[in-house]
Amino acid sequence: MESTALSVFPVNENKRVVSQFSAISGLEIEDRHVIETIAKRFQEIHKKSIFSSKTLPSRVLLKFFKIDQVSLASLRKINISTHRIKKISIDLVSKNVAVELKRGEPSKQPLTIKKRFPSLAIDTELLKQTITSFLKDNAKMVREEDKRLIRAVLECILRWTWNSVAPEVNCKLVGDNYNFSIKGIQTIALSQLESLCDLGDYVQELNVNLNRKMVHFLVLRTSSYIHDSQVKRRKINA
Amino acid sequence: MPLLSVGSITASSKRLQQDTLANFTDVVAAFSYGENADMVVRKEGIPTNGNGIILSVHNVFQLNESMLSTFRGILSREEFKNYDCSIEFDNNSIVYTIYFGEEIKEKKSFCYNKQLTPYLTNPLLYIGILFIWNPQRYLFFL
Repeated sequence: MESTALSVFPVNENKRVVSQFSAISGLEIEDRHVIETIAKRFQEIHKKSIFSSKTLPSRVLLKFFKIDQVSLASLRKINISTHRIKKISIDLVSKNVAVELKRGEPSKQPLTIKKRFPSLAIDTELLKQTITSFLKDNAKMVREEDKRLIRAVLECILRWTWNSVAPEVNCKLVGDNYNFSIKGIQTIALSQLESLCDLGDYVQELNVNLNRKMVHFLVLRTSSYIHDSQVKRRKINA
Repeated sequence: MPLLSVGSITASSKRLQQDTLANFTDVVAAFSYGENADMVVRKEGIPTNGNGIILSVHNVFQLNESMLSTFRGILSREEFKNYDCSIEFDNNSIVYTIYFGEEIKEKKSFCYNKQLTPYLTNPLLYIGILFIWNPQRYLFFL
Protein backbone atom coordinates (compact mmCIF):
# COMPACT_ATOMS: atom_id res chain seq x y z
CA MET A 1 0.00 0.00 0.00
CA GLU A 2 1.15 3.49 -0.78
CA SER A 3 0.87 5.64 2.32
CA THR A 4 -0.21 9.21 1.98
CA ALA A 5 0.01 11.64 4.85
CA LEU A 6 -3.03 13.78 5.42
CA SER A 7 -1.92 17.36 5.90
CA VAL A 8 -4.14 20.03 7.34
CA PHE A 9 -5.01 22.54 4.66
CA PRO A 10 -7.23 25.59 5.09
CA VAL A 11 -10.48 25.15 3.20
CA ASN A 12 -10.52 28.57 1.53
CA GLU A 13 -7.28 27.91 -0.33
CA ASN A 14 -7.87 25.63 -3.27
CA LYS A 15 -5.26 23.11 -2.23
CA ARG A 16 -5.90 19.42 -2.48
CA VAL A 17 -5.35 16.79 0.20
CA VAL A 18 -3.81 14.46 -2.38
CA SER A 19 -0.65 15.82 -3.91
CA GLN A 20 0.23 15.42 -7.58
CA PHE A 21 3.19 13.22 -6.64
CA SER A 22 1.19 10.59 -4.76
CA ALA A 23 0.13 7.28 -6.28
CA ILE A 24 -3.51 8.35 -6.18
CA SER A 25 -2.79 11.02 -8.80
CA GLY A 26 -2.73 8.18 -11.35
CA LEU A 27 -6.44 7.59 -10.80
CA GLU A 28 -9.35 9.14 -12.68
CA ILE A 29 -10.31 12.61 -11.53
CA GLU A 30 -13.69 11.37 -10.28
CA ASP A 31 -12.07 8.72 -8.10
CA ARG A 32 -9.59 11.26 -6.77
CA HIS A 33 -12.40 13.63 -5.80
CA VAL A 34 -14.14 10.85 -3.91
CA ILE A 35 -10.94 9.98 -2.03
CA GLU A 36 -10.37 13.65 -1.23
CA THR A 37 -13.91 14.02 0.09
CA ILE A 38 -13.53 11.02 2.40
CA ALA A 39 -10.06 12.09 3.51
CA LYS A 40 -11.33 15.57 4.35
CA ARG A 41 -14.19 14.11 6.36
CA PHE A 42 -11.73 12.02 8.35
CA GLN A 43 -9.51 15.05 8.72
CA GLU A 44 -12.38 17.06 10.18
CA ILE A 45 -13.07 14.40 12.81
CA HIS A 46 -9.54 13.09 13.43
CA LYS A 47 -6.94 15.76 12.71
CA LYS A 48 -3.89 13.56 13.11
CA SER A 49 -5.09 10.78 10.83
CA ILE A 50 -3.05 9.53 7.90
CA PHE A 51 -4.16 7.16 5.20
CA SER A 52 -2.82 4.62 2.76
CA SER A 53 -4.40 3.50 -0.47
CA LYS A 54 -4.46 0.44 -2.66
CA THR A 55 -5.87 0.58 -6.14
CA LEU A 56 -7.46 -2.58 -7.49
CA PRO A 57 -9.23 -3.00 -10.85
CA SER A 58 -12.74 -2.79 -9.40
CA ARG A 59 -12.20 -0.98 -6.12
CA VAL A 60 -9.94 1.29 -4.12
CA LEU A 61 -9.00 0.42 -0.55
CA LEU A 62 -8.30 3.26 1.85
CA LYS A 63 -6.93 2.66 5.32
CA PHE A 64 -6.97 5.44 7.90
CA PHE A 65 -4.50 5.22 10.76
CA LYS A 66 -3.77 7.20 13.95
CA ILE A 67 -7.40 7.22 15.00
CA ASP A 68 -8.04 6.79 18.72
CA GLN A 69 -11.77 6.46 18.83
CA VAL A 70 -14.60 6.30 16.31
CA SER A 71 -18.24 6.86 17.04
CA LEU A 72 -21.11 5.45 15.00
CA ALA A 73 -22.29 8.97 14.25
CA SER A 74 -18.96 9.92 12.66
CA LEU A 75 -18.91 6.70 10.60
CA ARG A 76 -22.42 7.46 9.36
CA LYS A 77 -21.26 10.94 8.42
CA ILE A 78 -18.42 9.49 6.35
CA ASN A 79 -20.69 6.86 4.81
CA ILE A 80 -23.16 9.42 3.46
CA SER A 81 -20.42 11.65 2.05
CA THR A 82 -20.36 9.69 -1.22
CA HIS A 83 -22.39 6.93 -2.86
CA ARG A 84 -19.20 5.18 -3.95
CA ILE A 85 -18.49 3.74 -0.50
CA LYS A 86 -19.01 -0.01 -0.60
CA LYS A 87 -17.97 -0.94 2.91
CA ILE A 88 -16.53 0.67 6.02
CA SER A 89 -14.84 -1.61 8.51
CA ILE A 90 -12.74 -1.12 11.61
CA ASP A 91 -9.74 -3.36 12.15
CA LEU A 92 -9.11 -3.42 15.88
CA VAL A 93 -5.95 -5.52 15.57
CA SER A 94 -4.14 -3.17 13.16
CA LYS A 95 -5.96 -0.14 14.63
CA ASN A 96 -7.26 1.29 11.38
CA VAL A 97 -10.47 2.19 9.63
CA ALA A 98 -10.77 0.65 6.16
CA VAL A 99 -12.97 2.23 3.50
CA GLU A 100 -13.69 0.28 0.35
CA LEU A 101 -14.68 2.30 -2.70
CA LYS A 102 -16.23 1.15 -5.94
CA ARG A 103 -14.33 2.29 -9.01
CA GLY A 104 -16.47 3.75 -11.76
CA GLU A 105 -20.08 2.96 -12.53
CA PRO A 106 -20.63 -0.46 -14.08
CA SER A 107 -22.72 -0.17 -17.25
CA LYS A 108 -24.68 -3.27 -16.47
CA GLN A 109 -25.30 -5.01 -13.19
CA PRO A 110 -23.45 -8.34 -13.24
CA LEU A 111 -25.63 -11.38 -12.82
CA THR A 112 -25.09 -12.96 -9.42
CA ILE A 113 -26.43 -16.29 -8.30
CA LYS A 114 -27.00 -16.32 -4.59
CA LYS A 115 -25.78 -19.49 -2.98
CA ARG A 116 -26.52 -20.48 0.55
CA PHE A 117 -23.64 -22.30 2.17
CA PRO A 118 -24.90 -24.54 4.96
CA SER A 119 -21.62 -24.22 6.86
CA LEU A 120 -22.08 -20.45 7.11
CA ALA A 121 -25.61 -20.63 8.46
CA ILE A 122 -25.84 -20.03 12.19
CA ASP A 123 -27.69 -22.56 14.27
CA THR A 124 -30.19 -20.42 16.15
CA GLU A 125 -30.78 -23.08 18.80
CA LEU A 126 -27.07 -23.20 19.55
CA LEU A 127 -27.04 -19.42 19.65
CA LYS A 128 -29.86 -19.35 22.20
CA GLN A 129 -28.23 -22.06 24.31
CA THR A 130 -24.95 -20.15 24.39
CA ILE A 131 -26.65 -16.94 25.49
CA THR A 132 -28.65 -18.80 28.15
CA SER A 133 -25.52 -20.41 29.60
CA PHE A 134 -23.69 -17.06 29.46
CA LEU A 135 -26.51 -15.35 31.34
CA LYS A 136 -26.65 -18.21 33.84
CA ASP A 137 -22.92 -17.88 34.53
CA ASN A 138 -23.18 -14.12 34.87
CA ALA A 139 -26.61 -13.89 36.47
CA LYS A 140 -25.53 -11.13 38.85
CA MET A 141 -25.05 -8.53 36.20
CA VAL A 142 -28.53 -8.66 34.60
CA ARG A 143 -31.87 -8.10 36.25
CA GLU A 144 -34.62 -10.59 35.56
CA GLU A 145 -36.93 -8.07 33.86
CA ASP A 146 -34.16 -6.94 31.47
CA LYS A 147 -33.09 -10.40 30.35
CA ARG A 148 -35.06 -10.27 27.11
CA LEU A 149 -33.38 -7.02 26.16
CA ILE A 150 -29.90 -8.21 27.05
CA ARG A 151 -30.48 -11.50 25.17
CA ALA A 152 -31.17 -9.53 21.98
CA VAL A 153 -27.97 -7.53 22.44
CA LEU A 154 -25.88 -10.63 23.17
CA GLU A 155 -27.33 -12.43 20.13
CA CYS A 156 -26.25 -9.52 17.97
CA ILE A 157 -22.71 -9.61 19.41
CA LEU A 158 -22.54 -13.37 18.92
CA ARG A 159 -23.60 -13.00 15.28
CA TRP A 160 -20.84 -10.42 14.74
CA THR A 161 -18.16 -12.76 16.00
CA TRP A 162 -19.48 -16.12 14.78
CA ASN A 163 -16.63 -18.23 13.28
CA SER A 164 -14.02 -15.85 14.66
CA VAL A 165 -12.43 -15.09 18.03
CA ALA A 166 -14.79 -15.21 21.02
CA PRO A 167 -15.20 -11.75 22.56
CA GLU A 168 -15.00 -10.85 26.22
CA VAL A 169 -18.26 -9.18 27.15
CA ASN A 170 -18.51 -7.04 30.22
CA CYS A 171 -21.86 -5.67 31.28
CA LYS A 172 -22.31 -3.42 34.30
CA LEU A 173 -25.45 -1.84 35.59
CA VAL A 174 -24.62 1.81 36.19
CA GLY A 175 -27.65 3.78 37.27
CA ASP A 176 -30.40 3.10 34.78
CA ASN A 177 -28.09 1.94 32.03
CA TYR A 178 -26.24 -1.24 31.20
CA ASN A 179 -22.70 -0.32 30.37
CA PHE A 180 -21.38 -2.77 27.75
CA SER A 181 -17.73 -3.11 26.84
CA ILE A 182 -16.62 -5.78 24.41
CA LYS A 183 -13.02 -6.81 24.03
CA GLY A 184 -11.45 -9.26 21.59
CA ILE A 185 -13.29 -8.24 18.42
CA GLN A 186 -10.89 -8.29 15.49
CA THR A 187 -12.84 -6.50 12.78
CA ILE A 188 -16.21 -4.86 12.77
CA ALA A 189 -18.11 -3.36 9.88
CA LEU A 190 -20.40 -0.35 9.91
CA SER A 191 -23.30 -2.58 8.83
CA GLN A 192 -22.73 -4.75 11.92
CA LEU A 193 -22.78 -1.71 14.19
CA GLU A 194 -25.97 -0.58 12.47
CA SER A 195 -27.53 -3.99 13.12
CA LEU A 196 -27.03 -3.43 16.85
CA CYS A 197 -28.57 0.04 16.70
CA ASP A 198 -31.48 -1.36 14.69
CA LEU A 199 -32.55 -3.29 17.77
CA GLY A 200 -34.04 -0.11 19.13
CA ASP A 201 -33.52 3.30 20.64
CA TYR A 202 -32.29 1.74 23.84
CA VAL A 203 -28.83 1.11 22.32
CA GLN A 204 -26.94 4.38 22.61
CA GLU A 205 -23.49 5.99 22.56
CA LEU A 206 -21.88 3.33 20.41
CA ASN A 207 -18.13 3.92 20.28
CA VAL A 208 -15.16 1.92 19.03
CA ASN A 209 -11.94 2.58 20.92
CA LEU A 210 -9.07 1.52 18.67
CA ASN A 211 -6.38 2.14 21.25
CA ARG A 212 -7.96 -0.11 23.85
CA LYS A 213 -9.37 -2.45 21.16
CA MET A 214 -12.80 -2.18 22.67
CA VAL A 215 -16.38 -1.56 21.57
CA HIS A 216 -18.42 0.38 24.07
CA PHE A 217 -22.13 1.20 24.22
CA LEU A 218 -24.99 1.82 26.61
CA VAL A 219 -28.24 -0.08 26.81
CA LEU A 220 -31.03 1.76 28.57
CA ARG A 221 -33.00 -0.27 31.07
CA THR A 222 -36.43 -1.27 29.83
CA SER A 223 -38.41 0.81 32.31
CA SER A 224 -36.26 3.89 31.80
CA TYR A 225 -36.58 3.49 28.05
CA ILE A 226 -40.37 3.53 28.32
CA HIS A 227 -40.42 6.59 30.55
CA ASP A 228 -37.70 8.68 28.92
CA SER A 229 -38.29 7.91 25.26
CA GLN A 230 -38.79 10.93 23.08
CA VAL A 231 -40.68 8.92 20.49
CA LYS A 232 -43.63 8.08 22.68
CA ARG A 233 -46.80 7.10 20.86
CA ARG A 234 -49.49 9.65 21.47
CA LYS A 235 -53.07 9.60 20.43
CA ILE A 236 -53.66 12.33 17.89
CA ASN A 237 -57.02 14.05 18.20
CA ALA A 238 -58.20 14.76 14.72
CA MET B 1 -14.25 -10.50 31.59
CA PRO B 2 -16.53 -13.44 30.72
CA LEU B 3 -16.15 -15.00 27.28
CA LEU B 4 -19.13 -15.26 24.97
CA SER B 5 -18.57 -18.60 23.28
CA VAL B 6 -20.20 -21.96 22.62
CA GLY B 7 -17.15 -23.83 23.90
CA SER B 8 -16.06 -24.05 27.49
CA ILE B 9 -12.50 -23.92 28.80
CA THR B 10 -11.62 -27.18 30.51
CA ALA B 11 -8.26 -28.48 31.74
CA SER B 12 -7.92 -30.88 28.79
CA SER B 13 -8.81 -28.21 26.21
CA LYS B 14 -6.32 -25.83 27.83
CA ARG B 15 -3.60 -28.49 27.59
CA LEU B 16 -4.50 -29.18 23.98
CA GLN B 17 -4.36 -25.46 23.20
CA GLN B 18 -0.88 -25.23 24.73
CA ASP B 19 0.29 -28.31 22.81
CA THR B 20 -1.03 -26.96 19.52
CA LEU B 21 0.56 -23.58 20.07
CA ALA B 22 3.88 -25.21 20.98
CA ASN B 23 3.76 -27.40 17.86
CA PHE B 24 3.00 -24.43 15.63
CA THR B 25 5.79 -22.40 17.24
CA ASP B 26 8.28 -25.22 16.58
CA VAL B 27 7.26 -25.57 12.94
CA VAL B 28 7.33 -21.82 12.37
CA ALA B 29 10.78 -21.59 13.98
CA ALA B 30 11.99 -24.31 11.61
CA PHE B 31 10.69 -22.44 8.56
CA SER B 32 11.92 -19.00 9.68
CA TYR B 33 14.65 -18.35 7.16
CA GLY B 34 15.13 -16.28 4.04
CA GLU B 35 12.17 -14.04 3.35
CA ASN B 36 10.22 -15.59 6.20
CA ALA B 37 12.88 -14.83 8.83
CA ASP B 38 10.46 -12.78 10.94
CA MET B 39 7.60 -15.28 11.02
CA VAL B 40 5.72 -15.39 14.33
CA VAL B 41 2.79 -17.37 15.71
CA ARG B 42 0.14 -15.58 17.69
CA LYS B 43 -2.72 -17.05 19.65
CA GLU B 44 -5.78 -15.03 18.71
CA GLY B 45 -8.20 -16.71 21.08
CA ILE B 46 -10.87 -19.36 21.08
CA PRO B 47 -13.58 -19.60 18.40
CA THR B 48 -17.13 -18.49 19.15
CA ASN B 49 -18.82 -21.45 17.50
CA GLY B 50 -17.02 -24.31 19.22
CA ASN B 51 -14.28 -25.57 21.44
CA GLY B 52 -10.86 -24.92 19.94
CA ILE B 53 -8.17 -22.37 19.25
CA ILE B 54 -7.46 -19.69 16.65
CA LEU B 55 -3.81 -19.26 15.70
CA SER B 56 -2.31 -16.86 13.21
CA VAL B 57 1.08 -16.96 11.55
CA HIS B 58 2.33 -13.48 10.68
CA ASN B 59 5.02 -12.11 8.36
CA VAL B 60 4.65 -14.90 5.81
CA PHE B 61 6.22 -13.58 2.63
CA GLN B 62 6.91 -16.86 0.88
CA LEU B 63 4.44 -19.68 1.19
CA ASN B 64 5.32 -23.13 -0.06
CA GLU B 65 3.71 -26.54 -0.11
CA SER B 66 6.14 -28.09 2.39
CA MET B 67 5.19 -25.49 5.02
CA LEU B 68 1.49 -26.05 4.46
CA SER B 69 1.86 -29.83 4.54
CA THR B 70 3.77 -29.59 7.83
CA PHE B 71 0.93 -27.56 9.29
CA ARG B 72 -1.51 -30.16 7.96
CA GLY B 73 0.60 -32.82 9.68
CA ILE B 74 0.19 -31.09 13.04
CA LEU B 75 -3.52 -30.77 12.45
CA SER B 76 -4.01 -34.45 11.65
CA ARG B 77 -4.13 -35.34 15.36
CA GLU B 78 -7.17 -37.37 16.33
CA GLU B 79 -8.13 -34.84 19.02
CA PHE B 80 -8.94 -32.29 16.32
CA LYS B 81 -12.39 -32.49 14.82
CA ASN B 82 -11.98 -29.94 12.05
CA TYR B 83 -9.97 -26.92 11.03
CA ASP B 84 -10.26 -23.89 8.74
CA CYS B 85 -7.34 -22.17 7.10
CA SER B 86 -7.45 -18.71 5.57
CA ILE B 87 -4.59 -16.95 3.86
CA GLU B 88 -4.73 -13.16 4.15
CA PHE B 89 -2.72 -11.62 1.37
CA ASP B 90 -3.23 -8.07 2.66
CA ASN B 91 -1.58 -8.76 6.01
CA ASN B 92 0.81 -11.55 4.91
CA SER B 93 -0.66 -13.91 7.43
CA ILE B 94 -2.31 -17.32 7.69
CA VAL B 95 -5.11 -17.89 10.18
CA TYR B 96 -5.92 -21.39 11.44
CA THR B 97 -9.18 -22.02 13.27
CA ILE B 98 -8.90 -25.42 14.93
CA TYR B 99 -11.88 -27.18 16.47
CA PHE B 100 -11.39 -29.82 19.15
CA GLY B 101 -13.45 -33.00 19.20
CA GLU B 102 -15.03 -34.38 22.36
CA GLU B 103 -16.06 -37.93 21.52
CA ILE B 104 -12.57 -39.14 20.64
CA LYS B 105 -11.40 -39.24 24.24
CA GLU B 106 -14.24 -41.51 25.33
CA LYS B 107 -13.72 -43.73 22.31
CA LYS B 108 -10.04 -44.13 23.17
CA SER B 109 -10.78 -45.59 26.62
CA PHE B 110 -12.79 -48.41 25.07
CA CYS B 111 -10.47 -48.96 22.16
CA TYR B 112 -8.09 -51.50 23.71
CA ASN B 113 -10.86 -53.53 25.38
CA LYS B 114 -12.74 -53.85 22.11
CA GLN B 115 -9.68 -55.00 20.24
CA LEU B 116 -8.46 -57.49 22.84
CA THR B 117 -11.81 -59.05 23.81
CA PRO B 118 -12.01 -61.59 20.94
CA TYR B 119 -8.45 -62.79 21.65
CA LEU B 120 -8.93 -63.04 25.42
CA THR B 121 -12.08 -65.13 25.06
CA ASN B 122 -10.43 -67.58 22.64
CA PRO B 123 -9.62 -70.96 24.41
CA LEU B 124 -6.70 -71.56 22.04
CA LEU B 125 -4.83 -68.73 23.74
CA TYR B 126 -4.97 -70.49 27.13
CA ILE B 127 -4.05 -73.85 25.59
CA GLY B 128 -1.07 -72.20 23.95
CA ILE B 129 0.03 -70.64 27.25
CA LEU B 130 -0.21 -74.02 28.98
CA PHE B 131 1.73 -75.64 26.16
CA ILE B 132 4.52 -73.11 26.47
CA TRP B 133 4.54 -73.42 30.25
CA ASN B 134 4.81 -77.23 30.35
CA PRO B 135 5.02 -78.78 26.86
CA GLN B 136 5.50 -82.38 28.05
CA ARG B 137 2.38 -82.39 30.22
CA TYR B 138 0.09 -80.65 27.76
CA LEU B 139 1.34 -82.37 24.62
CA PHE B 140 -1.58 -84.81 24.73
CA PHE B 141 -3.55 -82.32 22.59
CA LEU B 142 -1.38 -83.26 19.70
